[in-house]
Amino acid sequence: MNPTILVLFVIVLAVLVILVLLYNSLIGLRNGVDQAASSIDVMLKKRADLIPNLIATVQQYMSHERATLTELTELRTRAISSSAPLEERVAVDAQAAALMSRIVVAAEAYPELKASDNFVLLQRSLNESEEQISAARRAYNAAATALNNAVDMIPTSLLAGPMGITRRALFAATEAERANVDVGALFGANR
Amino acid sequence: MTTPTVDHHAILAPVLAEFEVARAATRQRVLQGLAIIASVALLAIAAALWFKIVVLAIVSGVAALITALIWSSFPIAQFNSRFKHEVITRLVAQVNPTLTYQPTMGIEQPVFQASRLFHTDIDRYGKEDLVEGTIGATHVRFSEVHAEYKTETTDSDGDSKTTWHTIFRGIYVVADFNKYFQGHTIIMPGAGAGLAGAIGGVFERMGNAVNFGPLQPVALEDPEFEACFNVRSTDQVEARYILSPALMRRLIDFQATHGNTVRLAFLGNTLHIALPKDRNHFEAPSVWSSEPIGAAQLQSYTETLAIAQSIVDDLNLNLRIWSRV
Repeated sequence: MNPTILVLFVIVLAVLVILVLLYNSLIGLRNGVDQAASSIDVMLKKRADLIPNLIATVQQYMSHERATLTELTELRTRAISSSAPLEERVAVDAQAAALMSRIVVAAEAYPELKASDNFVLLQRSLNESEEQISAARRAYNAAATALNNAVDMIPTSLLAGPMGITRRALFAATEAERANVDVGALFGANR
Repeated sequence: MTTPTVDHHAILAPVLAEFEVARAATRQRVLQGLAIIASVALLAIAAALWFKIVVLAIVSGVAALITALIWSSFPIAQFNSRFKHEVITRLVAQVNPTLTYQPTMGIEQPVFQASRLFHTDIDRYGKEDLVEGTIGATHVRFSEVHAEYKTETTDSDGDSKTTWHTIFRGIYVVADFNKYFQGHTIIMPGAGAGLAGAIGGVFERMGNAVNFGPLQPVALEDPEFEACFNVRSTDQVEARYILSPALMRRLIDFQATHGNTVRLAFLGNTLHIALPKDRNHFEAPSVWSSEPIGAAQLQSYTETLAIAQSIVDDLNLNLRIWSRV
C-alpha cells in the first residue's frame, strides 16, 4: 500500500476515534446532568409527601394558622402535579419549605404538639429531606459545572454546538434553604 | 467537650503497686530460670569440650539458647496479659465507664476489608486491644490493626525468601454515623493544593482507575476539602448528603489534627476511620525496666482512649436531628 495513503488512513482513523470519544464524553456529561436533575425531582417529591403528614399533625393545634396550612396544601398540589420546568418546581418547593419551617417554628408555642412523638419524627424527616434536597442540588451543580466546562472549553466546545448541547443553569442557595438551618436550632444543637 | 481532670495515677495506685510487685516477680522468675539454663548449658558445653565432641558443645549451646527464649517468653507474655487485663481494663473503665476493653479482640478482617480503603490483598491480619462503647447516642469501637501482604523472591541458589509489607498499621475505628444511607463512600488522602496537587491528582486518577470499581470520583465544592481529600462514592447524591458543607469543614480540621494519611469510609450506616500509627498503644512497659509506671505513661494510654470521644465530638456524631435517633 502507498505509504501516503496509509498515513492518511491512520490520521483519519485517529480523528474519528477522537471525535467519537469527545461525542461520548459530551453525551455522558449531559446524561449525568439529567440524572442529577431527576434525583432532585425524587427528593422534591419526598418532601412534598411530608406535607399531608405535617398538616394532619399540626392542624388541631394551630387553628389560627389555617391560612398557612391551606397555602401549603396548594403548594403541594402544584409541586407534585406540575409539569413545569425543574427550576419552577424547585421554586415551589422552596416556598413550601419556607412555610413548613414557619409552622415548625410556630409549634414552639404549643408544648403539647412540640413534645409529641409524631411531631418530633416529622421534624427529623423535614431536616432529612432538606439535607437530601440540598445534596441533590449540589450533585446537580457539580454535574452541570462539568457539562458547562465541556461546552465552553476546546475541543468539546466545537462539538457541543452542532450536537445542540448548551450550558445549564446552576442552582443558588435559596432564602428558604438558609432559613431552614434554624430548624436544627430547635433541637438545641449547631449544624 | 471539657472533662474534669482526673488523676488516674492516684486512683490506680493500689493496682499499679500490685503490678510493680508482679513485674519484679516476673523478672526474678525469668532471671532464675536463665541462670539454671546457663549453668546446665555451661556444664554440658564444658563436658562436651572435655571429651572433644565439638558438635555436642554447639548443640548444647543452641539448645540452651532456645530453652532460655522459651523459658523467658512465657512469664513475660503472662505479665503483659496481666497488665492489659488488670491495669488497662481498669483505666478504660475509669476514663469512660461506658467503654469496655478486650485485649485479645479487635476489628474483624471482613469489616476492615469491606471498607475498601485499602486495595492490596491481605496475607496476614493482626488485631488486638478492642475498645468498645456508646458515647452519647453513638456506638464506637476501635482496635489496633496490622494488615500485611507478602512477596516471595527466589535468589540465584533457588532459595526463596518471604518479605512482609505493611498495608495498614494503626488504629481502626468503626462508629455509628448520624444519618441513614445505602451506598458506599470513601475519603482518601488528597493530592494537595496547587500545581503539585493537580499533577498528583492526574497520577492518582490514572493509578486508581482500575482499583475502585463502582466507587466513582465525587467533585465537591469546597476547594480546601478537595485539596485535602479524594472522595469516591457509589452514589453522587448520597455522598453529598453525608458530606454536608459543615462536615467537610470538620473533616479538614480532623485531618489537621490526625495527619494527612487518615482515610475514612461510610458504609452500612457506619463510619470507618483508619488512623495509621507506628507503635503499639496498650503494651505493658518492659519487664526489665525498674522505673515505676508514672503519670506520663498512663497519660499516653488515656490519650489513645480519648480517640473515641474525640471522633464523636470532632465529627459531631451525636447530632441527631435526622431520622436516625
